Amino acid sequence: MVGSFGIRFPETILMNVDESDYEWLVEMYYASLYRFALSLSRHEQHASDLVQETFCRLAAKGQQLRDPSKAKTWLFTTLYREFLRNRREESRFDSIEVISGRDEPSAPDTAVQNRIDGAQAKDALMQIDELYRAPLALFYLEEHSYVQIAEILGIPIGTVMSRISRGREMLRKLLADKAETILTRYAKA
Amino acid sequence: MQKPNRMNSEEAKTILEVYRPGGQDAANPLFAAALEQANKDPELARWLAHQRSFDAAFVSAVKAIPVPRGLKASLLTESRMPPPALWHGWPVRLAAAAAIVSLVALSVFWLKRASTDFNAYRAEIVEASWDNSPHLEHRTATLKEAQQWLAQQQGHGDLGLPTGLGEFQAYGCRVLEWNGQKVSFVCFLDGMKHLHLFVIDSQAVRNRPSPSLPDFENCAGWKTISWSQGGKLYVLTGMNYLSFIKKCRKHGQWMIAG
Repeated sequence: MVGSFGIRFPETILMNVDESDYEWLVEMYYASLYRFALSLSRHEQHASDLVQETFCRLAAKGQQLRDPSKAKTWLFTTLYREFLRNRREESRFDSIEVISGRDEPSAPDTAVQNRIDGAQAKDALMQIDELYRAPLALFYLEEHSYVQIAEILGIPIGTVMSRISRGREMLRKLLADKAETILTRYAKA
Repeated sequence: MQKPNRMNSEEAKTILEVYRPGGQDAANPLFAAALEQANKDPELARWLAHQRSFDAAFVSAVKAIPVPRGLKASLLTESRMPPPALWHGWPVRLAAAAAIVSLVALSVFWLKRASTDFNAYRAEIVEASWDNSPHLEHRTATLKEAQQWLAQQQGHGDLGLPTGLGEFQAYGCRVLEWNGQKVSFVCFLDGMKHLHLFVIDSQAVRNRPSPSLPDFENCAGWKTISWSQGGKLYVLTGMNYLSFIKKCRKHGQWMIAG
């Protein structure tokens, strides 16, 4: 079945998302969805937009989820697809025409960056290539099993396992390098 | 999932790479077997302890990412679209079923008569505008001048744009043709983004969206928002749905009249 926004839903039991379902789903998942969106986009406003788009799709007319138990996975899958689609549209737009006097590419969100600089772990996570960052972020949110992560990202289970493993190694290396830099600086002082 | 009979430490390590530090996977037989192996192998147990400590630190870091104040409130208010109409009672359902049968019969009739379906129009027009470079025939920064130029080209110059879209700066325009019908095309700038608006006579297209309710659909890789107003059919691309809703929906009503 293709929903009103072209999203494919699993063929299970039909369920209308009514107002109380909607509010419950917002209550349960908006924070995790935002954190996942931020790890993908690395930009606060983009992350908020992604979450709003996701819930907008859920609430839109005729929108139906066929199995309540799938709602969580559906939300994360929809957000991830929306992120990919936005990125595709942006690159497609850039190839169409160069506008004279157009704005410079938006600078990284300094507010986010400053906060993340304060936490080495978050900083390291944001530096990881998106290929590994998406499964790692989902893994560290602890909302999903590796099977569900595979479903959300649309990749095989084995790929999820190897990307989490490889991504974790990258995180370790980044943190080790940073620690070494700090130690070297203090040693010189 | 079947519990494996014999799992060596290397296999257990591979599985435990994706074991969530909060213990959510402990009941899964596959992880249970891997954890059992870790209890038997001190080296694997040390590796696991180190891994879980590392992962726990990251769980804390990710879960501590602050969420913007007001996001939840905005989700509960702005994102909500009018709920679909609910039909209660068999008489209404029977009437609806009869109406559907009639509509099917009518649609068969119409399919034989015309090939001017809204979905086809939207797909073709969106593809055509985004794939051509340069895509404009006339450059102008004012909507008024664009409208005058479109009228001179026998396009639709009297555009009844929603007031919420009035803040965008015009960038240029063009007259396209679809099934022998003139289509006015206006390009707006939203910061560095292009918004493309297409306007055609409503009567030229069948199965068009309801006059009172915009239609949101992904088409040829683009988000499109379509609505009918004042005898014209409007298709907008390049704008995300939520931005449109914020600009054109006030107090539970669509403000799409010009």
